[in-house]
Amino acid sequence: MKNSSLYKGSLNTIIMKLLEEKGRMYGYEITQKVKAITLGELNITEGALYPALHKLEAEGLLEVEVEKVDNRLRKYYKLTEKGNKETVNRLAELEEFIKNMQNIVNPKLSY
Amino acid sequence: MKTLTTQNLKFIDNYLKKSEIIYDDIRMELTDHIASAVEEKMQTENIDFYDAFKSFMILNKKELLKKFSGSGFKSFEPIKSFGLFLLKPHVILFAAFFFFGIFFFQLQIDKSYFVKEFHHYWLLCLFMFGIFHFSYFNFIKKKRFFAVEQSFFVLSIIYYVFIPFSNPTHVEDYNLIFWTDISILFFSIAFLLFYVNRIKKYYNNKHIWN
Repeated sequence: MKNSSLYKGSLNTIIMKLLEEKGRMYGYEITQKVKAITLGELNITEGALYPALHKLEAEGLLEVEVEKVDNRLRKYYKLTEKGNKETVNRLAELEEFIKNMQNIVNPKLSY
Repeated sequence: MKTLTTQNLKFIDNYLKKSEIIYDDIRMELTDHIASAVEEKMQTENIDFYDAFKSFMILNKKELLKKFSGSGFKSFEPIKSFGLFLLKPHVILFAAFFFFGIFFFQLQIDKSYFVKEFHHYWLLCLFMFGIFHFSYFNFIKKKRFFAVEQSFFVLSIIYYVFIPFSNPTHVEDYNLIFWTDISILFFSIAFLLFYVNRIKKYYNNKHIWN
């Protein structure tokens, strides 16, 4: 993942935001979607993505559906009711963070 | 879009198996991930399966194997999940009945006898449980599930947290040892419920279980 320490803290929120928009997604689809949105700037590795998905699932924020697609099994992730509520909170928190960082990095814009 | 054949998918699965990705559920997810990436490469670069696979693995092998192979894949997730499980209403209700029942039970028994015998029976149960798990998943089911095996971490935490206070040869307060043993018993039963709960998740999904 590019600029790891800055992006790492937001990985769960990125995943939850995408799932909120798309309904359900599988691992590879998430990595490609992030790559496309950020025009290749942000590349989520498998080593970061799957542990994050498993953690969110264990916390009850995501649920899983397994389906047979093209001769293989595919695990789809979607937000639970708790996950939907948590996404709203985390996005608000992230927006607040971005706003504060903007004020620090570029104080002139905040006036 | 080019799709992989069953043979291609078997090749990826075997490759992951040989790379010590021992859990079936993790391998299933990674096989789909690699297969999707390989299909895209075959499509966009107009190359065959083996070239696309090689090209993907050159870039991603290190990351994949470092995180998911053998004992390299560690997670503290089960501890947190077990904590959340203990807060579920039916577990809290069970805890209330359990400790209420034990409170009356302890008034009628010889605690010194109980604390001397408890360890033997507890270790025997633990041993039998281990044998059952190992035999069932290795010889009958022939599948290993990451989330189920990782949950044993909880059992080792229970063991190491309580055992120092539970040894009659080192601690002389029988009352303290008795309630420590009762706590071990409670957390062990709660763990068993947690373990069954995790297996149920896989069992309910016939694609993964069968």
